[in-house]
Amino acid sequence: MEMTSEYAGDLQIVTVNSTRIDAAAAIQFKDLMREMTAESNKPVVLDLSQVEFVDSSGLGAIVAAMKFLGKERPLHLSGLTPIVAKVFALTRMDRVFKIFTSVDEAKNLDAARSA
Amino acid sequence: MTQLGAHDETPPAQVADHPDTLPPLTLRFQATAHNARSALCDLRKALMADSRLSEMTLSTVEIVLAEVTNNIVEHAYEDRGTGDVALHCEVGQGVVHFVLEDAGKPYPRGQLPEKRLHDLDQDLASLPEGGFGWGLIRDLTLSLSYDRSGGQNILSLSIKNEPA
Repeated sequence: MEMTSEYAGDLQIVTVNSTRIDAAAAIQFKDLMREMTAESNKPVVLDLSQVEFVDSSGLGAIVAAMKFLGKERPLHLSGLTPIVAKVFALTRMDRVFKIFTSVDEAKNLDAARSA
Repeated sequence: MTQLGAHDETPPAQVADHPDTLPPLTLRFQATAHNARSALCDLRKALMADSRLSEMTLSTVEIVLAEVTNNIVEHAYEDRGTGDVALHCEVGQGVVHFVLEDAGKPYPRGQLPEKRLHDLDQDLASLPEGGFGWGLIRDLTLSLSYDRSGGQNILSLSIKNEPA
């Protein structure tokens, strides 16, 4: 699994450069998220536009990342592809996250800066 | 690794007469998260060759079978680490049938778990990080049944072929 990080103003954008966050990748995803978000306190936008598939383990890992970032540091999502959006909708976890259509949309909205 | 082969009990399919229909197939693999992923990718490729199946159906199949195979890896074989899994697939009229066999532990009380309803209006720290799998399986399957026979778990399920 590959992930990259950049800063856009007062947001940290973490991009998943892999096509699957599944049971085989969930632990690594959590470890990388912890590592990559350790260096700042900025709200995080997780760019999932290259991720074609998420299963319940991957979904759980994304929720775990939201939890370890804590209340003061929101984790938002952007760029959900069709299967990923379907898994979030069926499990109702789309209500738990703020979801942007793209990283650009997140950058342009003040909403991304707050929980 | 995954072995792709014709269904054991089925005579050779008349491929020439029906070029875009997939004959029944069986995938066999050792239960690990990586092998389950490979099997799902192989299955998607095989099902893509069947012109009757929509992209939405392929997605539903992938979501459901990911949960079912993860359950086998994480629960049925949790004591011994791994074991054999057979995944049989047959495309029917408006539906895709699957049978999964493993030699792991039976389901508790011989029953498949129900969908778990999470309370999402709670503290961040209390949000669920798991327990989504059976909800997805039950929401996305047309039929679902479980049998324990000869030391094997036999899970049969079907998924509706959504029109494109």
